[in-house]
Amino acid sequence: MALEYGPVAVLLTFGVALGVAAMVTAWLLRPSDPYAAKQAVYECGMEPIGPAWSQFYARYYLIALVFVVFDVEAIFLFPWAAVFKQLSAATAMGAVPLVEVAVFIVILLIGLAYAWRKGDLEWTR
Amino acid sequence: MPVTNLQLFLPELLLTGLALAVLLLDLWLPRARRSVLPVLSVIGLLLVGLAAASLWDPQRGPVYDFWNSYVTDNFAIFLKVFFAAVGGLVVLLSTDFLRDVRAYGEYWSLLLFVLLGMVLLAGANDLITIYLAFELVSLVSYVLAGYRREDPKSNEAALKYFLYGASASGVMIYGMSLLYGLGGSTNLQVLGERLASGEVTPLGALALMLVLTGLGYKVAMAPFQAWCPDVYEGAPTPVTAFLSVGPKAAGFAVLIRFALSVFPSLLPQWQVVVAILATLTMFVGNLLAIRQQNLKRLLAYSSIAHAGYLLIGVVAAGSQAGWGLPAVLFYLVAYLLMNLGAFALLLLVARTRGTEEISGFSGLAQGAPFAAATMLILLLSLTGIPPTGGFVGKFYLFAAAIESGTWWWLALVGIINSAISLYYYMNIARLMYFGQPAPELVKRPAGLSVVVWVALIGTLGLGLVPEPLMALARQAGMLFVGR
Repeated sequence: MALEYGPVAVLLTFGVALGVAAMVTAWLLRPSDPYAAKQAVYECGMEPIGPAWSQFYARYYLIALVFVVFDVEAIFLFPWAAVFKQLSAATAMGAVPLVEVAVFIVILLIGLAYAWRKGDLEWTR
Repeated sequence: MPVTNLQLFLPELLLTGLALAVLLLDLWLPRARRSVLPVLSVIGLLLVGLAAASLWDPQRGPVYDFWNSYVTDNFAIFLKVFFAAVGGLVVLLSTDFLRDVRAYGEYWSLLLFVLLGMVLLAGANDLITIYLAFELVSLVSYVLAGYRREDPKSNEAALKYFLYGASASGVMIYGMSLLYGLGGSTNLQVLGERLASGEVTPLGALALMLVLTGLGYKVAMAPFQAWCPDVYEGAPTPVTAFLSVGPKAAGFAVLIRFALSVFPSLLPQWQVVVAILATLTMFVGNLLAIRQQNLKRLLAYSSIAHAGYLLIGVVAAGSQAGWGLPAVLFYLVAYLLMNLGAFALLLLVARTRGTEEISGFSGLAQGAPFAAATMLILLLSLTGIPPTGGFVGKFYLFAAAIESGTWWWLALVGIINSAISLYYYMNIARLMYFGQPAPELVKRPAGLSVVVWVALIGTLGLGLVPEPLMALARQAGMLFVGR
């Protein structure tokens, strides 16, 4: 039983060892010659402007949250749509799968209504 | 089968509808009329409790639904009624406290959602269902703990709770993934059968330990109890009262179902582990409670200690389910009453004297003799002195330990710990009766008074006439008897 995980252990050991070995070798071989341009933060080849610890607009996360809700909803709806015909036939009550998904969507819509009513969809307040 | 009978899910459906209705009402009701929300919540929870109670049928065995991922049996029904009661009492506790909080309406819907999670945990019969319901309870609890956004302590509580909770559920889901790897199913019964047939592997033991860690965090079992005092102190007091009973009871529900369904083969092993941890939990809770000056912290350590007592029942349930399970269920009810009563009195005292320290209770007997007498009875119950529900509950727990044979010594540990707890509980009583007199409690909000009365009558009632509840608890525990 435990032996089946042997390859995983080997892979893990070699993976870590290789990474460490590469860095240690480089550290042993390379000359130490720091200068300003070399020490600068690399940002797509552009010269960095200002410090990296700048403040981001916090409202992004609310929009992202609402987006994730409907993203996940879509993930659930695709497989449902794919098997809808079989489902309706199997339960012998064609409307049941439709009603179930409607309940699911209504609950999510309540979430959207909540965000809307609280003014979280306004970009500036 | 997907669903045999939708009527079995009436409590869950009602609770979901109620939570959504409260959420929507809060959005469109004018500010002045929002005090209707707690009233609606209490009435709704009453209906949920009644709906759950109407499903009670001592003759019926477990009914599995949603492809066996959800079970309705008397054990789950007992807990669903219990959770509805927890919810109702906590709503009553919160009404006065929340009057001046800005985000007023969300509180009630959040509370109802966390109750929904607990109700689902009571019936969860599948690793995925357990995990989802567990996360619903946890995530909402974090938000509730940080509900006073302007208070740094409340923020600290929420953050600590979140960090501990996230790690614990991470560990738990890792254990579950190992279980799935070993048994090839997420269904508890199927896992139990497949694990029982093979020999005990180190991997199986590891999975058990990992899951136990996640659940141990939820019930504040040592050594996973470190979050408890800080969270309890920082969270708003009604939320603390809720956290000390609700999620803990839900954690015990899962722990029992899990241990008895999945790990009959590892029974002696997990019993040893849980017995040792129960001992540790009791000692940690009681010894650290002695030095506390803040009553919320004291009650936090006391709730750790009580988790330890309850764990005795879980261990005993492994050998003698007919004794251990009813004892745990009975003790949960007794603990709900005495603990929420104590929190209600703490809220009453804190709103008049502006302190949550123990010293706030000083001289309470002169100014408010009734409140002091009630507190004394609740403290006696928490210690486990007759004629209170706490005494009878402990009696059953220790009796279960003795009946189980091997684990009789846990009763001894429990008795020693009760003696230790006498010191810090009676210290409060000493202050109330012999401390410097202080002004009486000016106003008594209706909600708090109701909780105090329910706690007082319930605690004394359970102490004097324990048999009706015990009979119900026995029927609820029947399910696992004779395995």
